Amino acid sequence: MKEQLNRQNGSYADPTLIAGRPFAALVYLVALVLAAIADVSTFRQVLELAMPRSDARTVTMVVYGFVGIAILLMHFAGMLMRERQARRGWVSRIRPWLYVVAWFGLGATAFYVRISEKVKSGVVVNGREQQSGGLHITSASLMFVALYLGTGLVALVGAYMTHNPERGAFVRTKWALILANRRLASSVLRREIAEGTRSLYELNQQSATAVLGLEQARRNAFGEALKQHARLVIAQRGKDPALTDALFPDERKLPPGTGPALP
Amino acid sequence: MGRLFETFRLRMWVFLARLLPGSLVYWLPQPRPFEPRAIDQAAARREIEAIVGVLAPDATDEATGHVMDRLIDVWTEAWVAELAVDFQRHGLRNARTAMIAAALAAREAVLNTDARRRHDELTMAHQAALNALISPND
Repeated sequence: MKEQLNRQNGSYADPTLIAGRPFAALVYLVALVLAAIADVSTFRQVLELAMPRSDARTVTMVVYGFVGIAILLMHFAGMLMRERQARRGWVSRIRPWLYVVAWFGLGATAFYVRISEKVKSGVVVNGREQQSGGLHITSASLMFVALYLGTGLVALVGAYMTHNPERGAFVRTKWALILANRRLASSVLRREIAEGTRSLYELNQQSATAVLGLEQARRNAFGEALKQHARLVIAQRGKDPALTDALFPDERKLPPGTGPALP
Repeated sequence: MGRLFETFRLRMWVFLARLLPGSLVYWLPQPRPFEPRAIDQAAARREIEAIVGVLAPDATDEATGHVMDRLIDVWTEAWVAELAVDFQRHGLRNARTAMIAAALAAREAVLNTDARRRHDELTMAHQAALNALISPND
């Protein structure tokens, strides 16, 4: 009910647009493309008459420009009409119609060129075929008018029906947010890896310090073991119990947990 | 030659860190563990046996058990000094790469702040656009 009210009072609010544009928007786009293609053909005929000395490439460029301007003028007109209905203060009553008038002037000029085409009369004077002047409204020129009007209406109504800056902002911000999300995810991944690597180097240094302490103790212990080994070798070579007894104190007399005090 | 290679390796990492800082995060080399040179214990024992073999049994008695102690103490001091040298070398070898790792981590933290701020701003913008599409503004 609220949505219907919004549509009635001209607001752009329409939550259903979150799901995407309606199918009609695609139909409008296809119709507009088809109409534009037809317009290109008819405008080419007109401009070939108006620019007889220009080469085909120049005529083609002008034709596309002409058709583009014609469609854009009516698109703007439709858009501004919709904006006005949405009660946007910046659109005056006359403003959309200015675009319509411009569009009409463009079409009228083309139509005039089209009907003022010189027709060969078939009468030859002094070796030259005579051409008749004046305006010649032919079925082709009427078809041109019909196509021009049709394209203009499609552009006008289509723009009026599909124009919604709020949806445009929604879609734009949605994709920008998706992109920002992905960039943030990548950034978090890189940051975590970088931070982890940094911590790993710190841990490695701490581990190296611990290894240093342990290795130092091991070398000291090995030194003591070597001293013991030296005494053993002396005892072995001496083959004298008194000597052996003197070199190795009775460990049973030592308090537990203390090593032998070497003499 | 090894030292030259080590210098080249470190310079290469610094160069890559400047050229591809984002990618380098993923393939920065693992830190090398501290592996000091091992003592040749068998050789030390053989040396002791050889020296004592010269002395014993004629030049030893009950009072000469300590005859090798001073020598062994000196050896131990040498081994500990070697260990300290190895430790210093290990620290220097890892220092440059550790510095690069710390620099990359700092860089990523700054970039992450930017990415998070951009994300927060766009979340607000998207919420505003959604509100405008859902509720009429007049």
